[in-house]
Amino acid sequence: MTLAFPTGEPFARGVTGYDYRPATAHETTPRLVLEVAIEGILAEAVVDTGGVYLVCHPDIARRLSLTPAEALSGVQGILLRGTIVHGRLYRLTLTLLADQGEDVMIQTTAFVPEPEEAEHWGDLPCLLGLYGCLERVRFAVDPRAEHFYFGPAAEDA
Amino acid sequence: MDLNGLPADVAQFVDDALASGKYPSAEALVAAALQVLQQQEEEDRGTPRPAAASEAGSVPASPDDYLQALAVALRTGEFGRARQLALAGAARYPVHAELTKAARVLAPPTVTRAPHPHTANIPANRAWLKAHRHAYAGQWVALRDGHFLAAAPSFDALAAQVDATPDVLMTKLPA
Repeated sequence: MTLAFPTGEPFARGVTGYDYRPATAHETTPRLVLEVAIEGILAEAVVDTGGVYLVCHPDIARRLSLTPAEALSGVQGILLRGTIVHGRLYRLTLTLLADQGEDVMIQTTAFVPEPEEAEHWGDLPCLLGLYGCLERVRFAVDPRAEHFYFGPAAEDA
Repeated sequence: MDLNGLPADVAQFVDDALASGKYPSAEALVAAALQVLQQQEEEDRGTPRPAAASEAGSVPASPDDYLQALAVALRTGEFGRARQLALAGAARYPVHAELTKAARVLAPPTVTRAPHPHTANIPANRAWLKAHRHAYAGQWVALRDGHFLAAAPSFDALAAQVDATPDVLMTKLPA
């Protein structure tokens, strides 16, 4: 099921299917859309290797019951997709959910937009950026089977 | 230096400035004016001024300086610099609560195997979404283990209809 190096060491620990579709109604380029868990709560998320951090949909973030005291102090204006978005930075647990094999947990930097950003957010799902989120994950894509393989690049204690 | 032929209002400004003693000579006044003009042109071309460049590369002098530089780095999309500032600031001021929190939040991610497997039926959710995505385009939908629970035009309306336990997927389908 999972990929392995010639030494036998597994490349990946788990594999999941994905949906290959545009992230929003206004886009035409398909993206990898996975179902993940953020702090244990299920959500759809787009693999965005050109992006940074885990970016939560503002409405999904409301399900997480986060308190500003847990965040880096103050509202930060962050440049996302060419636009300054206001929100707070947290350390959250993201779980990649395996159809086969083992789930993988990532302690990630997460950007949670302020609730008022929901008005302009549209149908963009959560985003899994490379820097600050997937940067320590091995992953591979089988486009024929629409399988996303994943595992830790190194086992963290 | 002769400054003849200037417009009357500029000539008056020069006379007043020299009379005030702020500038020791006409040459000094002209040099100061040209420096202002040079800075303005550099800003128009996007060339960083020497002072700004040294600020970007300098070591912050206090915890507040670290936090301010960190906020600027985030706002300008310098995410790598933001992490460096957070980690360096926390190392230098290890008892400063906000800097240690910044270092924890912005530290490189850690990746581990989950202690317990999840129990949700993710493939069933995926199959439902593929089959019904167009029928519910533009709506929020709630699913549990591939079973449709509810649909609504907004998140709030959906949340009012379902018991949103963690195993319920709530997602908005593109229009």
